[in-house]
Amino acid sequence: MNDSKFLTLDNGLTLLIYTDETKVTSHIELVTFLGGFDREFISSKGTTCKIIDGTAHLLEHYVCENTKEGNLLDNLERNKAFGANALTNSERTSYYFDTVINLEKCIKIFLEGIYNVDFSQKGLEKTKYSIYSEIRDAKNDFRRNLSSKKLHLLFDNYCDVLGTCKSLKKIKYKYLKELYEKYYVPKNQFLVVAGNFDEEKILKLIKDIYSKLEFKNNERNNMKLSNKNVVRKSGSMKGNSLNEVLITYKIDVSKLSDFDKYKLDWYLGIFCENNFSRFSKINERLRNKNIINGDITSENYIFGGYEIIEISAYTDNKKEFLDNVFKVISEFGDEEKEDFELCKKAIILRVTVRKDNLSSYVSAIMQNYTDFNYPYDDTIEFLNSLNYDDYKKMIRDIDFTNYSVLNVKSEDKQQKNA
Amino acid sequence: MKRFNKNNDSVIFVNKNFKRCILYIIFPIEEVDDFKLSILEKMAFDKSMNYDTDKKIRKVNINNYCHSYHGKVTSVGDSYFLEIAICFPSYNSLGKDVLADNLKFIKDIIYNPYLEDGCFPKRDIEDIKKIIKNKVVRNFKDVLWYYEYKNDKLLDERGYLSNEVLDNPSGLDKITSKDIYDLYKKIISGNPLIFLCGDVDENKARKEIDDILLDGRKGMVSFEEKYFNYAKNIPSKIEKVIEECQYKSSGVFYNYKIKDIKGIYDMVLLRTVKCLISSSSSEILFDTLRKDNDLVYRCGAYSYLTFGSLTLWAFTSKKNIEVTEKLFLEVMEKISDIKFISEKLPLIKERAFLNDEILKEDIWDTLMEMIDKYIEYKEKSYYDYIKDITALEVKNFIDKKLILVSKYIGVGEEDE
Repeated sequence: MNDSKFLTLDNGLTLLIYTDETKVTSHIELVTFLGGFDREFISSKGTTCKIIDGTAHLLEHYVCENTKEGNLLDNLERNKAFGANALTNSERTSYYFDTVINLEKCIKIFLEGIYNVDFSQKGLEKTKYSIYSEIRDAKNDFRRNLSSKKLHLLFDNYCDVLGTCKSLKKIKYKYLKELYEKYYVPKNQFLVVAGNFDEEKILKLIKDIYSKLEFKNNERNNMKLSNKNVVRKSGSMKGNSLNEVLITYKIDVSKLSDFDKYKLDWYLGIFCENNFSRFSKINERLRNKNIINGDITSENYIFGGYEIIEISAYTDNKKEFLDNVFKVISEFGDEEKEDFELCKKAIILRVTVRKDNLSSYVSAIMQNYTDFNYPYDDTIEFLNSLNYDDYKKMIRDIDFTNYSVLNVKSEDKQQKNA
Repeated sequence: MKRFNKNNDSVIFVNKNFKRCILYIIFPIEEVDDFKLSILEKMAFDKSMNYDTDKKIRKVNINNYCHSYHGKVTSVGDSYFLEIAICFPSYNSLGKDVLADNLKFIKDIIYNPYLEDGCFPKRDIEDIKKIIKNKVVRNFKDVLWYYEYKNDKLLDERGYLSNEVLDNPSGLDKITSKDIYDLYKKIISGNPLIFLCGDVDENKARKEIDDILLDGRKGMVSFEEKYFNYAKNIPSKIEKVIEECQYKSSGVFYNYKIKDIKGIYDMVLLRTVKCLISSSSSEILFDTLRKDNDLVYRCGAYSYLTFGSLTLWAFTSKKNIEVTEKLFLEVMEKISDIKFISEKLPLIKERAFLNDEILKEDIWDTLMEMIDKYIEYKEKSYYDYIKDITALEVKNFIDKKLILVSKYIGVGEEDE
């Protein structure tokens, strides 16, 4: 197996290519930087226009169902691709498939399909139907609603990726086509090709395909960051049998270089594990005092251009839980170096064996590019360079004043249907 | 009922394609109590007397280069097992052999569990009960989960598909930490089955497992192979349950059972029928409901292959329940057409062949495939069964053996 590499084609498309002859499958994914967070765009007339809620997701469905050769996913599966699908989140839209055979044919169908779409109002209205059903189904998806509630507290530009039936009804095909022509362009996209194939042959194929395509505007469209402050400091919802408190920090990393953002993300992973997990002192303290049920949990991730740290626990004593969390953060620095080094060792181990699983490996590298604009593999050399003093400094430099608290309250009785 | 009876010599699958190795240990469970097992799953292998805090566990795992370890209750049909698995890098990827260190850790975790007053810590047991109950409450808020749960209850026979914890979570209250510990002691007093998969030196690994882990625990492993619990109840009239619900979406479920099940052969045909309805080789249900009629976002089919049932399902709006039901029957009519079957069957076979190849890429899939054969649950892969099946056999199965037995309709609120 080789190392992954990033290339930029003449048309500005970023390409991640990784070959591994121990694998049977290949994975192809085209990421377009258009998601639910994109709220406005510059039209062809030069005016700033609002992007209607649900547009990116509707466009994803539309592209899948209305290529000039018919349904994209059907065409791929007819040619032995499997797992063909598409997904839109707040920041991007991905089209992807896996295959064991017919890779070249499937790549051709895939790329030529995505870039050759027929737009009509009739086609658009038909596409909308399944999304209306999707919106209806989502209304009773508790986990989805919890996530949505959390993000609403944090981001002023957050809206549900699906949109609403009302917002979708406003969308006309000409508007959709204009957005498609603006965003579905090589400089605003990222192509991943990973698995068992002849690299030279596949690279040549991809270049040949793109050489025959024409794009009206080929520019990178950058998402406008939301206001750096959280929208509301607190919120609540019902849903559990136990009271749960989630505190979410929104951390502005815009002043950091891409490399420093990438490095900070690693450090925050260590920070969360050492300070807010079942291994942490706070967990021991809160459990011994019967303040929490179960263990404290935490995670960090990039969302909307910000680092997010989420810390949660089941507790009836919200104030004491939060006071303890604040205390750990304000007194940060007492952490033992040994704990840092242990965490680092665990990370290195994880990365060492990561290539066993194609999708785990590739998705981690993709994330380096999409989240941090850092087009490189995670190397053991880099991980070895992470050090305790640098870690302390970077964490101490973080502004932890911008957070929101969500209370998921227990209900007295279960729902009628239970 | 057939019994599994084999010596617990460690079973080693050498595979040099992977950087990781997995050591996988299972203890058969004879006493099956949903309440106790749901707690035991979270409590077992958590800590030991030597590693009595999470921090110590973490430290020893990292120093042993343990990539991950977990314990859980697993089942094949009605045969239950307490499972513990540990994952670590191979010598060739790390430059160091860590099997022995990980064996010592696993042995301590299994046979020297952390106890307070001679039992699992009461506080931990009470916490686990609360968290399980919370999860049940959350599940009931999820329309996708709820409708499937209610349908399974309708389809069920002898409690095979149901779980008492979901039906009555307050049943957890009476379980004590002594109950859990007594159950645990009983389970681990038996001999385990041990499997190792990865890039290992087979002879060296076997010796280390024998000396360190098994250490006098070599002997027979015996349990009833209750893998298949075929549905027998074919009612004379189709049972229909309609439930008014507060969810926005409505759910439509149609259940089929097999008349006079004749073992694996029928299960292979059942799986093939499922693929005809809903798979990457044939999406007739999806095409009919979504593409042609704009009725759904999601629909599909699933089968319980150790029970012998097939379910068609769809989430739709209240006003479209009837038309969805009508189209379910049309789909079943279409799939019994010999021309349709003849067209799709080669695609299904080809996909099954490719799936066998794809499984080899993942160490867990590779391991599970080997174990299924070793415990005599499967003799061969789905492709090996299906490759010689004819379209006529599939048609006869659909026409003569697949019987519609029940319907569950969850009527939601929203009409749009």
